[in-house]
Formats: sequence, C-alpha cells, structure tokens
Amino acid sequence: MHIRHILPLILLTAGAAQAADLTITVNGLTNAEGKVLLAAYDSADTFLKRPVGISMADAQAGSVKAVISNLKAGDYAISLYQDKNANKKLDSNLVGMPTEPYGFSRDAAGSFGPPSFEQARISVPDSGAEITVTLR
Amino acid sequence: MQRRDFLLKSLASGLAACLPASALAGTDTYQAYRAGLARHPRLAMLAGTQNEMLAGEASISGSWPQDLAGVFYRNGPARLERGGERYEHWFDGDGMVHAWRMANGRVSHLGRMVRTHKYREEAAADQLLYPGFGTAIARRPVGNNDSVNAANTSALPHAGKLYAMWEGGSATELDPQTLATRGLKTWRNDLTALPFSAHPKVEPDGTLWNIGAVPGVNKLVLWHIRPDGNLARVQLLNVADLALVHDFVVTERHIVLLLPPFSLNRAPGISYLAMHQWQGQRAMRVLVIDKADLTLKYTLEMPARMVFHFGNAFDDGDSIRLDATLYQDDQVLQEMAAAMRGVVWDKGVPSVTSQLTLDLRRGQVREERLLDASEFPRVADAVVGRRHRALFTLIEDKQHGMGMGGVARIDLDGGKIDRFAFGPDWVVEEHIPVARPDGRGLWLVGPALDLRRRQTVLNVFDAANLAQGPLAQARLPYAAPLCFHGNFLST
Repeated sequence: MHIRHILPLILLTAGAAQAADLTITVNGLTNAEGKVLLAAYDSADTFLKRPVGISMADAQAGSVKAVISNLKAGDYAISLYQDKNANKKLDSNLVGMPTEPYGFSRDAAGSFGPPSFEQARISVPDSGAEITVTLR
Repeated sequence: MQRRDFLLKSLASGLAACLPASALAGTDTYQAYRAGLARHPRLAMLAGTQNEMLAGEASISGSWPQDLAGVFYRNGPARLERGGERYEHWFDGDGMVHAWRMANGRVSHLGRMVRTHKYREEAAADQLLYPGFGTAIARRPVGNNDSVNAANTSALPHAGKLYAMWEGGSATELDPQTLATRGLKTWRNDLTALPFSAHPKVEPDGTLWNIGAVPGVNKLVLWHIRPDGNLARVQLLNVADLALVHDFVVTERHIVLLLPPFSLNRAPGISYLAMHQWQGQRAMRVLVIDKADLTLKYTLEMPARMVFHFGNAFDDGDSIRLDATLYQDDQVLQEMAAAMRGVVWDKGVPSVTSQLTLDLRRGQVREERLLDASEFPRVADAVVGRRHRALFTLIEDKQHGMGMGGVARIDLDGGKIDRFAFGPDWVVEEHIPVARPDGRGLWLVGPALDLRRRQTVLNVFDAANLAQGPLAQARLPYAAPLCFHGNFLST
C-alpha cells in the first residue's frame, strides 16, 4: 500500500480513538411534537452557555435516542429539551419558567434554579458512554 | 442549525421561577394518623377519601328556602393518602371539587376529583410521586409549577366557566355540570404555568383581580380579568424576599397585600414549607397597589404576623380599611402538619380577626381586634371592594379541640357579635353569605361534618339571626372530605 493511502487511514484511526460517542436515551415524551435538542458542556464555566457538542432527534411518544459524537474523553453535563413548536428555543413564560419539557444528565434538579454542572456531571471514556434522561 | 439554537440560557434564570423539586420521601405519617385518630375523634376531619367521585341526594330537616337556587361550588384536599403513604400536610392533598345544587327546597351533592397531571400520574402508579407543599417526595421529575398542581384550594364560577384554584400554578377548568376536568387554564401562551392563586376577588360588575407569587425570582404577578372572562392585563411587580402569599384584598382603587415575614432556605431536598423560616423580628409589609396602572404606590409596615385570609377592604378617604385573620407567628402551619400525623396540640394556636386601618398619608397601620379565635372571614359578593357592614367568620371550638366549631357575624358598626356553636360532635367548614333574590338580606350557607354519624350536612342560616341556629339542614348519607373554600353561583 502506498504511503499516500496509509496516511489518511492513520489519521482516521487516530481520530476515532480520541472522539467518543455519547448515546442519550430520552424518556418521558408524551407526544411526537417537534424535535428533541441536546447539548453537551464540558465545564462549570461554560455550562448552559457554550456547548461543545450538540445533537437532535425527531420526537416520538415514549422515548427517543440521540448521539452526541466526537466528544473528547472527559466529564460533561448534558441539557436537553423537546422543542415542541420547532422554534429552536426552550419556551418559557413571563417569569422565565420553562413551558416545554426539558432535562439534564443524571436527571439532576436544582432548588429554585437549574442544577449545577457538578450535579449533572457524567464521565465519557474513550470508548463512549450511554445515559438515560427523563424529560421533566 | 446554529449552536446558538441549543443554548439553554433561559434555564439559568427560568428554573429559579419554578417551585423547587424536592428530594426525600417516606414517613410513618400514615400509621401515626391512625393511632392519633383513636385518641382524637375530631381528626376524622382529615381522613380524606379514596373515591374518584361522591354523589348523593340530601335529606332535609327544617324547611330549605324555596328561593335559594343555585350551585355552591367548593374545593379541598381530598386524596391525602396513596399506596400506604400519607401526606405530611393538609395542603398537599389532591383537590376534589364539590357542587351542592339547590332548587325548590331540595339539595344534591356531587364531588369529583380534579384530574390534574399529578393526580393522573399518581393514580396510574398507585403511588405518591410528586412533592407537595409540606411533603418532600421526588419520584418523578418536576418540570414547572403545574407538574405539581394539586388544584385543591377553592372553586370559582366566573363568566360561565368553572375553575379549580390552586396557589402555585394555573387554574384548572372544569365542566360546571359534570365537574369533569377540561384542563389547565392558559390565559395567553406566555402565561403558561404562571401562578394564579386561589383567592381571586370578583367585584360586583364581574371584574376579577388575582395575584400569583413567584418566590424564586421575587416577582408578584397581578392579574386583571374582564367580566366576560377575557384577560385585560397582567403585570409583574418586583418584591424583595417574596415567600408564601395566600390571599389579598381589593378596594375600588387599590390592591392590598400583607406579606408575612419569612426568609427562604433554599436547601435542596426539603419541602416548600420547610424552606419557610419565620422572621418574627422583621415587620409585616403592607403593599398598596394602584389598580389603574398596577404600580406599587405605598409600602407600610406593621408588627410581624402570619395571615392566610382576608374578609374585605374599602377606601375611606386617605385610608384603607380591611379585615384579616391574624396569627402571632407561623406555628399554625406546624399545627396543621401535626394533625396530619395524629397529633393534636393541647393549646391551639390563637387567631384573631381584626380590622386594619392603613393611614396612607402618615404611613401607619392601626389594628382593631374584632373577634378572637375565628377564621375564614367572608363578605357578601355585592360589597367586595366596597364598604361592608357585616363580616362572617367561623369560630373555633377551643373546648373540644382542633377544627372550627361555629359561625359568627360581626357587625362592623358597633361591634355586635351574633354567633352559633354547633357543639362537640361537629367540625364546621367555611360558610358564605348568599343574597336573597327578594333583596331582603342574606342567607349564610356552609357545610359541617357530623362526627357522630360521619355525615356531611349543609346548613342554611338567616344571616341576620345566626344565634337561632340553622333554618334547615341538608344531610348527605356520607361524609364528604373537608374543603377549604368555595363560591356560590345563583341560578
């Protein structure tokens, strides 16, 4: 095999070794409206501000699966919501209370506010990970 | 799609507006209540029901007024236990709405559970799943306040609709005939799940005012609904250190709230009640809001008090006069929790119904005590926000232990008290004045639980002469769960 062909193969293999897939099963959908949008965050500072990975899945009653690909091995917190009316935002009422279903990794919940990165922290090894989140 | 689309920024501020999700469950309250009931028969008032529906014809003793025609809608926590567990506070139970229909001297009763999201999920699982006001349970995730809406505090007919009212979230619309649940009332999309509390004030022309407290973000919601049932205005007011607010009053020009001094302990895993920490060294704030533009006009202060219920209020020159039932502190909340686990406090918590005069010019509050050991103040629909001469309350039965024991009318001009006590075998519920169609005064109508026969009886009094006892009683062949509040729809 010519070196010209080997190099891309090495690069591909290397990439796969360092980029893990996180498979997320989302439970608790009561209908098939819109899509489920998911985001992964890799630090407390960037939590709910700057995601490092994203995914989406068509909603269906019951549960759906989505994959956030190409994550570096490490710790993450996942937030997700069902965008029922497909306006690409989590709808909220006049005081900011969410009015579409949402959830966090480890089904974390805060007290008068969202959970912390710590509360929702999961570990994703090189080999990838699978988690389940129930919409609230 | 942009990554920006996935940003859940609004969660950071938004979840602060939700009631907290609690984390602990499980108590021996279920067993303790049964042990307590053997010692204190009056605790039968907190038995609740396992039934989805109760219906029956009442047998009449005395002469039920032929022209007293309409439906008396009431609501209260009825489902207090499930799967061998019992709530730790009376306020936690799922609401059952009751319709007492009366016409031609006859009375019938229908009670039906409000099929809230919470009730449906818990019935399907046959297990308590969600946190209540005073019980920390977290077996299912809570999305927003309506995830835990118990629809258990009052029932209100308005503009042809019937609502089951709760304090922390939406009203639930019911079929006025069958009491079947139609669903959450959403006045506008961006008002979904916003607290619409259980003591709206309806003026004589049908204009409805309400409040909603959102303690997590220190915002008070002010609601103005037109007589035709459509939303006129909604306004947010920033209020520091906002906590539990149950009721309020209106005058012709003002909305008035009293804010008992609590701080909120935001520790995770405790109930909403447990978060409330009494701050008796602080003042009770009195907020006076202008109905015209829904802005805060005056903040007055008075000594720390706990308050749930108001009678009425009216403008009086540069003053506002209002009546309210006051407690020295928040112990009454603990007393109700104790009763749920079968414990009756030797000395009940003293209450007093007082008239407060708010001197807006001097910024002073004056209290005149009207009647000790009373609660559930009500006035006739025709005087809401106007000068009233008569205030109706329940009176406690201190001699025989917890629960209300009688009814009273306080004549505000002169202070004369007209009262009737039912005796040791009765627990008396809220009684409300109903106008006679001939314009010749009022009846006072309300239920009482006959502990001896375990039956609920609806009473009608001549409101001008309570001391003579009920004119008639309509007796059900069963005990209906005790209610908090209700309203009468004349037909």
